Amino acid sequence: MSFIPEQHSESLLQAVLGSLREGILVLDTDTQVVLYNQAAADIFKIRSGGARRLLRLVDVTRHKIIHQGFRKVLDEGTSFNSEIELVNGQERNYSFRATPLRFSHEEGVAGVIGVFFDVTQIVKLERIRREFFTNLSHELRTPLTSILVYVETLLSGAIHDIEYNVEFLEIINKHAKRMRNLVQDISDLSAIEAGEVQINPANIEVHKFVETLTPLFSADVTTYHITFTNAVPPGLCVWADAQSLEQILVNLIINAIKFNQPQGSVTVEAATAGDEAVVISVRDTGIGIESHHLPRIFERLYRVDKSRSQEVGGTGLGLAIVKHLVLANKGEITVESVPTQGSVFRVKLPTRL
Amino acid sequence: MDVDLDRLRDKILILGGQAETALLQATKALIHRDSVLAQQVIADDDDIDYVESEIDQLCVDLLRDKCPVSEDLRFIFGIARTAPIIERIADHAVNIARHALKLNDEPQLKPYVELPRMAELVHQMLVESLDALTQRDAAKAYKIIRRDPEVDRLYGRIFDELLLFMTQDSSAVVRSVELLFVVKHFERIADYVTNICEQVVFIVEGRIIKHTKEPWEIHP
Ligand SMILES: Nc1ncnc2c1ncn2[C@@H]1O[C@H](COP(=O)(O)OP(=O)(O)OP(=O)(O)O)[C@@H](O)[C@H]1O
Ligand SMILES: [Mg+2]
Repeated sequence: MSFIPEQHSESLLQAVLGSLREGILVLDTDTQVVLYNQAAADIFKIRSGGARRLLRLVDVTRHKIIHQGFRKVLDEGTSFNSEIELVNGQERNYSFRATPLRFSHEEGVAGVIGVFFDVTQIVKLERIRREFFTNLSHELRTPLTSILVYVETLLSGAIHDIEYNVEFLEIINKHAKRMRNLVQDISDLSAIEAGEVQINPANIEVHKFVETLTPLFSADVTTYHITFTNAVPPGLCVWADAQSLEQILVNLIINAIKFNQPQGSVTVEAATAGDEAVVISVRDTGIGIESHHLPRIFERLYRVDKSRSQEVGGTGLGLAIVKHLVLANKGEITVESVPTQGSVFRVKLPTRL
Repeated sequence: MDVDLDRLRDKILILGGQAETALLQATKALIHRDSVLAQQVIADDDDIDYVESEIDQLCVDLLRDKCPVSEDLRFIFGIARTAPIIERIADHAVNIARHALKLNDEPQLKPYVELPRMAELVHQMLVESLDALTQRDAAKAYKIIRRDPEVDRLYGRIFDELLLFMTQDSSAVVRSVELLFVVKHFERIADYVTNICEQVVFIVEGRIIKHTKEPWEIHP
């Protein structure tokens, strides 16, 4: 099949415009809307049909920058670019570009073409990236400042003060370890993200596996007066990389201990989910997480309450690592939480077929 | 004449859009405790005042030069009355931004629950009133007027809650008073929105329903 473009120019135009994800709005010099595509109709909720007369730009939107942009192009004949926010139920970001419409070189501007490209996701990623670096430098600066202060104090004489010198060194040691952990976490995370971590799945019996992990957090259990229970029914197996699974569960369990209340409890449970998966849950009776934080806790360095996390020595990388490891093991992670009541983190992992 | 009326209509709706933005951003500045945004709302206000005086001038010019009659005359009158209402809405938004600046300097009194709901309702009413003006939709205008009691109810509830705070905790007094001002501004904006709706009804149907409690009971 072939066709002669000239014979179909109208339907060709419609088809092309309709297939674009960018919203297109074409105005004449009097800001009447002469053409728009479906994407633009969706963005601006334009109700088609029944219009007795041509729509004007004010019928489409009252957004100031859009009006200014189109006006500028019509008056000055140059193009205009801007980033705008539109609230239409929810808030979305668009890159808005308006360019003059000319039918030939001799004639002046006949109208203006506006293109609206949804950049909500890009803006969000950019925000996360920026916050990550701000947080990172903060996280590194805090321990580093302490280390420098205590080293200088020691150098200027305190090193001979037998009452304080050891204590100062211990503080330095604590902060240095904190920095080492942070650096370790970040390199882990970038290795996982870059797909450099070897995943060697094996059949793992969950109950026994959790038992072998208990020494890794028994100190925390004692410090925070928490009751820990391994309630995984014996016999359930998952198909996962042992090292990943260890990191996943230890991170979740330590969080459940850290963000608990005194005399609280932490329980690990598991159950089959269909024929091909097992869900392992880490349940706590802790402080919980308010719903508006939930979508963000898996972001790198995101912490709900910086002061509390600082107190319990967290940097906010744990869950980011957990999430990536779960995905690398072809699993899924979800969270459910009631503030002041507690949280459940559920990890769904495949079983061996 | 049509061209002039279109220009007037463009201008009033753009002014409305600016008030919408001011209200939305002031609310955001308050709820997300964003002082930079609050400053911006305050700075943008000069522009709003300028557009309002432009509309005023345009109406006067039209009345003098074009001698409009009936429907057109009503339209011009309606718009001339609507412009200052919108300008006042923007003023209230600026005031909310000013209070947000003060509140943002202090720890948050408590998580806002009803306040965002009230802000959302008032914003929605403003958006719809401007839609009603755009579409010359009197039925929609009546519908918005009927929502005003909802705002008053929320206002009453928040007011009582803030009073309670003040009596329970003296350190909360200053912040509670700031918040009392804020809710008062939202409540006033909702009133002005109903005034816009009255003008929409006037433009479309030619009846004056100002100062009447139950507009849908009035017969021409
Ligand atoms: N079980 C939980 N209960 C309540 N809040 C939690 C829980 N788990 C995580 N959070 C919240 O999510 C945030 C992110 O958790 P994440 O494990 O990524 O960081 P962290 O524990 O603060 O630091 P890190 O794990 O890097 O030492 C925590 O700071 C905390 O606010
Ligand atoms: Mg953690």
